[in-house]
Amino acid sequence: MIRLPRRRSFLRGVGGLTLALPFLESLRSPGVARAATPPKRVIFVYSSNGTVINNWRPSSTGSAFDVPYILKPFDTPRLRPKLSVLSGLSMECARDTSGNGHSVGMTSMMTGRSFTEVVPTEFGDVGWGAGISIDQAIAKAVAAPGQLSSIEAGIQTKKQYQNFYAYMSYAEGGGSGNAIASDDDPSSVFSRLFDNIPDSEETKAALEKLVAQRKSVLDVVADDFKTVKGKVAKADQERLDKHLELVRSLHDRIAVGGFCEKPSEPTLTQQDLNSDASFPLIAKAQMDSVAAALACDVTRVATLQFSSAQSGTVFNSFVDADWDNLAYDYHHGLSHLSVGWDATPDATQALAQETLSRINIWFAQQIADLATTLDSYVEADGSTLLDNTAIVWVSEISEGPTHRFVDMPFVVLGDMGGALRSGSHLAYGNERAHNDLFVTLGKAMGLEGFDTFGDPQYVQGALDDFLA
Amino acid sequence: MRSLILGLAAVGALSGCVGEIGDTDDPTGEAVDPVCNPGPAPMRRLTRWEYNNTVADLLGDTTAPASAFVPEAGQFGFDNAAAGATLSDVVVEQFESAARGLAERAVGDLPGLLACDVETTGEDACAAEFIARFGRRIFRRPLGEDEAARYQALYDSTKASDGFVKAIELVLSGMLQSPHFLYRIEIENSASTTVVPVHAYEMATRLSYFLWGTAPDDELLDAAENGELETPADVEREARRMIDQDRGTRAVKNFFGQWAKLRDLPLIERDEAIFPVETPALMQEELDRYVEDVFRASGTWAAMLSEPATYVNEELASYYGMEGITGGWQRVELDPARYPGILTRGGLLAVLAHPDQPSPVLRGKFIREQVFCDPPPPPPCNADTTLPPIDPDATARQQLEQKTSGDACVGCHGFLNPPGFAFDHFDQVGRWRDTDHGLEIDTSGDLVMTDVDGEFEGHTDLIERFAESPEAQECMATHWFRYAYGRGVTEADTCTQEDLSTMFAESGGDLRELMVALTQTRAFLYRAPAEGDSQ
Repeated sequence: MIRLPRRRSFLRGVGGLTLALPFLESLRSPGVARAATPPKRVIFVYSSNGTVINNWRPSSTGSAFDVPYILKPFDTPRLRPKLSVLSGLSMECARDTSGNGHSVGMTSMMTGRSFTEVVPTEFGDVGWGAGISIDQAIAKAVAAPGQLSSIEAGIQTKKQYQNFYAYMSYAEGGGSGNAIASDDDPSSVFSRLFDNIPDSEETKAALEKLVAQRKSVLDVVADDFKTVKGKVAKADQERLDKHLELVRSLHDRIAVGGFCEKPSEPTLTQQDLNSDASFPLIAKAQMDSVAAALACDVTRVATLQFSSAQSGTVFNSFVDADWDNLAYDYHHGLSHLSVGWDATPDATQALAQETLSRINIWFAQQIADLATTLDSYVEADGSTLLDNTAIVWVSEISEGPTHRFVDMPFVVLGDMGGALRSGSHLAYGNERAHNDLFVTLGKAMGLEGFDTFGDPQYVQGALDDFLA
Repeated sequence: MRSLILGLAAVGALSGCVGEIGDTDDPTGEAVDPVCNPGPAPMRRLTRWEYNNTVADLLGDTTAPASAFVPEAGQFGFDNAAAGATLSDVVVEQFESAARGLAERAVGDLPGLLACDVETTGEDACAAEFIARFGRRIFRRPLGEDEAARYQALYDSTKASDGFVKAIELVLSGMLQSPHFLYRIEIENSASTTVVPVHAYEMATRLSYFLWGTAPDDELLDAAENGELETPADVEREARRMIDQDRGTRAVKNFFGQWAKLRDLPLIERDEAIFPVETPALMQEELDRYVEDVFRASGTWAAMLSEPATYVNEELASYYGMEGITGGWQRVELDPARYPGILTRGGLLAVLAHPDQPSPVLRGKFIREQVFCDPPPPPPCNADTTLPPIDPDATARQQLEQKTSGDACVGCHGFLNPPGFAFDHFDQVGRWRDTDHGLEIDTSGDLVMTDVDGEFEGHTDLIERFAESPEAQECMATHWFRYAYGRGVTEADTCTQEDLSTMFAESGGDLRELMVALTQTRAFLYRAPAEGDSQ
């Protein structure tokens, strides 16, 4: 049961509207049995173009590290003990792949494999993720029957690119056909998560009728797939089988009710989902919906994808910097004005580094705000939602100027109910692949026999100093 | 359904291939001759544009619900590639949500939807008629008995619980989520190990989505039903009929809109003071009208490249600085020395630019890639691709030439930059400019690595050259191959591609003839059994 937040907290809605967080169990989803012990949850947050390693990597290892410049938003009494900085993880599969840096990085980042469906382009080889992504591997294993296995919320992920640059998650098998799109429309995300939670007894009856009708239609649709079975080429059949599986999954999870009252829908004052000024507003709305969905146990795995690989987001309307003295104000261009951590910047490069750092501080602040929202939900055993969650911050490259795949900027906030030993800076000297972090996360989520992930040649096993 | 007997001679006349279809009908199932194979025919899903067109034509619903769908992951330069259709929870939920909305709105005008008098005919009889008649339009073929029975059962049970109107609504909602609606499924002849003709109804669908971007109309379905879509000549006759209709310019507009990168126009970042928010839509309309005009007049690729005319309304005319234009959309004749053809249209040139200045590199790349199908190699990983800050005492050309003059860069930029410089009279929002920050603009250069190489004075000169280039014409045919068949060119397509190029050249580069020719190839008329077929 979801209890009242410790402080009855109200969030400022994006439209200036005050919205209450969902409270109190009033209705039960028929498909999902509620556990007395809160389930573990994981959220993967993606931001583009890497970071500025010198302002990101703590100067000392262990638990007593000073929180570095970019990670300052996590330096609060509540968040600091939950902050883990994992430096020197190498994206080995990407290092073994020649091609366009951002495409290679984006497709390797969550899959731990070298990309597939590779085609040469004028920007180098590009391709699609070659296997299941870590969020989906976990989602598949932890979803209760009838539960949405994961939610993928996006902030302008298809604004710039609609191809492999725009996808972080993949279903089993990978490739373009299994690429999972982030949903960039906050009202769509909200509606998909909460439409079946009635706000009164009257709407409950109407919703029950509607759900029955939708199921009867989906039954017929599912049967239509059977007509084709064995009569089309193998690749086409696989695509249809996948579609049918998704239809069945939708059929099985539409049910009236949830573990909480229906949250208020975030309203967007800025209706243009593609404008740069909307970026923070969309982010806020998506994070609120994701937090509420995890609290209501609508799902246990979420991704929040900020823009796409090689992002061109312009931050000048909400990140303070000396924008007038920069040749570029868009994220990717800006990242190329900088230099790598092992070079000495000149004045222009130093300004670019400072600006990129502030952009990454802005992302850190979003994650900190999300964590604080999670912390306002009290679970059945008195812990908070944040206590049972890990937020994993990922990017497709280490730093913009070099496109390096060593020193990947992984940050984990939260310890999944004590399954992770949080609070330290753990340095791996690029002797461990990021696959091992994902093995660690899978084990921490409680996945049985999760000893490998992605391309096995890069796997040594869980990070023993991080897994509790 | 009658089995198809195609006149193979008609195809042979087009091919210049070795061997005959059927030669390789080998009971051991060995691969067919790779040289004259129809090539792969991967199953395609309706694009957002096709979905919107289809529901507008079938239901009169112009709400364009698919515009909210996950965008196609464009491949081979076009959104309709089979490989561009991704699948995930959100995609399936969007299909469901759109279908529910469409069905709910459709039953708002039940008499119009049913075309059957419920008072005299009775609800159940009208429903049965609706399932058969509308099912045929939505599935683009008659429903099988089991399919009709399935929708009949949904109707019966829903009518019993929720009434007649809701029953019709749910039937429609189901059909709109069916794989037979969303995908263009072509049933394999599983016993065959060799090339087989495409079935008549599936041919109707191939024609309709290629030429109209929508489902076949009743006339086309009737042709399939009546055995009038069996031979290459039948297919050609229908193709010509379809191109001549009003809807016959949809494909060419959709093609050139994507070829010219105008889909990116709403996303470019420009100063609103010089590029008002409504400009992208106006420029798209301009290009559509221009393309339609040229297509309906001479219809040649050369004319598309060189026609000194365009379409504007008062607002766009004022944007471009044209005087004396009032009112709605109209054709205007332009100065041929400045504005020959599609490569001088504002939308294309605005996309190929940076926020504060035009981009000769992007424009040069466009010409190599879109005009000559010869994309430049990638810049090295360590290339510094940032532009220097704008220097008021130098033209952008001078700055770029200095930046790319090093040994490491000039190898590619030496041939990449010049055709881009030719368009330097067009600024970052697609308008003519006489000078670059008050400095004289140099548009001359040397075109290399094409079949029409040589020095040129400026863009007009260059475009004339493109219009005469056999390589550019062949490249246009290649783009159309990708658009029509939803895939890249494979080794198996060698003869199809050669046939198309020959036909296109012999017709004087007539785009209408190219489109007809695309319906007459092995790739269009036949299916090869794909490797690893089921059965």
